[in-house]
Amino acid sequence: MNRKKIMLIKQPFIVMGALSLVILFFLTACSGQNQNFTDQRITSLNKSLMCPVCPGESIDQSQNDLAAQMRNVVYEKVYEGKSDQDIKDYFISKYGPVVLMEPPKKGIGLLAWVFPIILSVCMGFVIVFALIFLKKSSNKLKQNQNQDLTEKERDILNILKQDNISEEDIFEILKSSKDN
Amino acid sequence: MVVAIGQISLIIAFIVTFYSSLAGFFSGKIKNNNLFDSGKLAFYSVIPLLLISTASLIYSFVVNDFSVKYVAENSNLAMPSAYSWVAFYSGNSGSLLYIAMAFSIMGAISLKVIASKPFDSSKYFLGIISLTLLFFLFVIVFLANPLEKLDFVPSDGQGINPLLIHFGMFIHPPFQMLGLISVAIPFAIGVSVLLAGEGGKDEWVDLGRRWGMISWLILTVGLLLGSWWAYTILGWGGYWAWDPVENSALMPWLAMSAFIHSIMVQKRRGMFRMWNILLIIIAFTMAQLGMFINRGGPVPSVHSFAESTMGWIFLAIMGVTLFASLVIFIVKFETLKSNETLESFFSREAAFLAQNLLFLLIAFVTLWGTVFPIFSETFDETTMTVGQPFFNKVNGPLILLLVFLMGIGPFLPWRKASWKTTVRMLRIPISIALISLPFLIFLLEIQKIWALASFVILISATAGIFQEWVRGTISRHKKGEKWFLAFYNLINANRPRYGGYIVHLSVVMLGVGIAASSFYSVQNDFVMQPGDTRTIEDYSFTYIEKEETIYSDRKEQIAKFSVKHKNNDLGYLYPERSYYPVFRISATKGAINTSLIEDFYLVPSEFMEDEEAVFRVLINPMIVWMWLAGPVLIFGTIFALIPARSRKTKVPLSDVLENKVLES
Amino acid sequence: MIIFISIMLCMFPIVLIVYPLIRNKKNVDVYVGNDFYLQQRWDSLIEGLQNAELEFSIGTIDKDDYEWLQKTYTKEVIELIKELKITNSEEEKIIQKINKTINQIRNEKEKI
Repeated sequence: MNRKKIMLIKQPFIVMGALSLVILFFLTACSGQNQNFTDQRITSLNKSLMCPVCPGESIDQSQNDLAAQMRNVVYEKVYEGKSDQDIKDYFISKYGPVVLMEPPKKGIGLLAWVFPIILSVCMGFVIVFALIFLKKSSNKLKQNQNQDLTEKERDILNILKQDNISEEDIFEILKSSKDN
Repeated sequence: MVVAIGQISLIIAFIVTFYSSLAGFFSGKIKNNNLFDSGKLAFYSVIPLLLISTASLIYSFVVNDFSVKYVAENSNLAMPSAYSWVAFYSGNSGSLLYIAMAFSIMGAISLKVIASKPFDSSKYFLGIISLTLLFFLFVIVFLANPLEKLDFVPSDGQGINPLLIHFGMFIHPPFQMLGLISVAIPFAIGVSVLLAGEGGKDEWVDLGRRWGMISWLILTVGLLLGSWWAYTILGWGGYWAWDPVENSALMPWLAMSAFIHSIMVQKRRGMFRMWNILLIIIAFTMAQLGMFINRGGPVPSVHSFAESTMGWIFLAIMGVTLFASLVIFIVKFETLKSNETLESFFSREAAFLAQNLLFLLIAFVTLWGTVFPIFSETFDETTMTVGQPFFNKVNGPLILLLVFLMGIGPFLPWRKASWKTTVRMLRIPISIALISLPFLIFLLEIQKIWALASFVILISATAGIFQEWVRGTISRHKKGEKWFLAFYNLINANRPRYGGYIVHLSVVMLGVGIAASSFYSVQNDFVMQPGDTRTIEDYSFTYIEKEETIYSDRKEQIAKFSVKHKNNDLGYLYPERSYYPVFRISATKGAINTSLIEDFYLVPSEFMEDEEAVFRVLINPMIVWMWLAGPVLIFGTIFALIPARSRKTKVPLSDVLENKVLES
Repeated sequence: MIIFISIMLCMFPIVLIVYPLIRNKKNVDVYVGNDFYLQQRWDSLIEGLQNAELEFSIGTIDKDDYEWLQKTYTKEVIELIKELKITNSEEEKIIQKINKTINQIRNEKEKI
């Protein structure tokens, strides 16, 4: 008897443990791919630079002439052997940090990235506190450890459970009970 | 003369709406039904007036009356005639007129329905929707009049933005704009209930849920149509750019998504009363903020209407509305206290709370990203761009978490979930998800972590939904119904629940399309001459020839391609590129071959002086599932909205049961 | 011509606005009684019962929860019926009053 109890209590933990192992096994089977094809690099660089005269479009997606010129510059520099950061710095020096499609992770740009994290953490706390706040003692629940239904109440319950509560059904039951 | 009549109608409409606002609030305060009837009729009478104004504007477009300033700015003689019917909402002031007209109709329908029920709040409801309409009419009449005349008549207009000459123009803007303003209706229901002191009675929840869902549906359709339009017209193979205007439509949608769930908690358990009012206030504020971003131009966007000097009035009305709503809330919040308690952290109520806050978190992060450029400019004097990469990285995981909640939420019972029950409900979906892992990793070669996580979560959500359908059908079958009938009755007897599951399935379809195309799109640029053939993945395509036509407003170049996939001939594709010298815009139209597995997307980037041209090819996996999700979602929502047959307690029934009761 | 149309356009809402204010309908609160709210409660109680039924058959809730829910809902329905009975008897009284008044008016008319 004791062993059964222990098994039951441990069951959730066993399940969780097994689950985590399985997931870990499969995740290690995933290789984090790093396809460093030059083309991929160029495309991703293009997607991370903004066309300065188009509102909010990357030079990859914009049809503008300036965007086409910038794409050529990126192409040349990649084949010259410059690194991603060099190329980005080059454009920043010409147009300012606005040319990057996402804020740089330093200076005030860092705030852009950090704020969502702070917000998320705060939201997590809000959820926890809200739940604690809402969960007052459930005395009300204990009061309603109610008595069982009487037979008549059971009959009513059965009537209510039907899909169509027809008045004929109810009359039938009443008639039969009145005859008793 | 037509224009003059349109103008007069506008002014009359403004005055009448002013009256109906007053009538609504006063009749609510003094509880006078005659004044209320008068106010209602006033509101209804605005509809024909606005229809007349709209008709006069459309007429001006159709006959090319360039003496009207707005027509001269937004159309020209070369514009295809079909578009003169819709060009009227392509610009700022015309779109305001559209919104006023559409809202007057939708508001009147909601008013008719709501006033037919004996709520004291319907009078205040009239007041609030009248004020909403009044604001728009005020802006139209005094600040941005689409029927304003020019002193001289130009011989031709400037023309409509060429990107808008696309079928999508007929459907996306009307739905999107109506969706944004339709949030005013559940908002008005909530606030009017507060004003009338009926916050404690939950009977209005049905109305709030219904109109919340209707508003949500229109917003969703608008967003989906916009994505589809962007994908098919804009030539960059994408459908969502986290552009400020897109974000401003997304934020109220997120808040409304939260609302339609939390209103269910109030219906079932009488909880979250205060939260629901706050939430609908947030949703409407976001909708107004969205209008400001669209028209105020604080952040540059591809979508912005050209003139944007009067946008600040939208910010002002947003502030006023928010302030007034919060004041009303604080004054009346005692009526909202509920007796129900949260019994367990591990319950559906708690899951809904987490989900709501997650929706809002995504909305606020989106807001932050959208306004950060202004922030950095004000405080650091450097402009920064917050584009797609930022939003994808930050919102992506949050959205995935939300979908995960969607998968497990429905299986948590109300009030309290025991570990045993939860395991019993979740073990099949989770097992299926785990079993699918080796297939995903080794068979489909999905090895990027986030992609894998996305698909696993989507699979478990789907498995969960089908598990309930199967179990429900089985249990009905055991009671004697035949299989098909059992399933049909199961769905039909619980329309809100199963309609909701259908919508969740459509979300899964959306998720599949988004995940597959986000992680596994392939893109390449090719320099080709006529006669050249290139290959990408399993496709081979041949550039046959180019046809060039010069129109009065543009130069159009259409290329002809023959495409083969694994030796299957897919026929001809005709990607095109047009250059509009007046606007200095090049518009491309991609040629797409769609299949359930992937889209072959071909678009001309550049036609050079010699015969050479640059073409971009994208292979977008499973994109079509996003568009297929649309009808499923619409069906699910409408299905969930069909009212249940009310079980009338006529006198005989209550007498009959009462006899039994008194006997006992 | 424009003036004529403008006047028509003005008259149209004015008529609609003024009519309810000048007609002789008394501002009586239409007697709805509690019936509407009770009907809503009835609907939602039945829905609650149905949902409990469904969720138990699927396995989302335990047997004890299921039975607790059934007891609670049934007792609430019975309370509701008692309230309905009160409302209905009130309605009966009002209908009787109205009938009496109508009869009175009829009698007076016949006298004239």
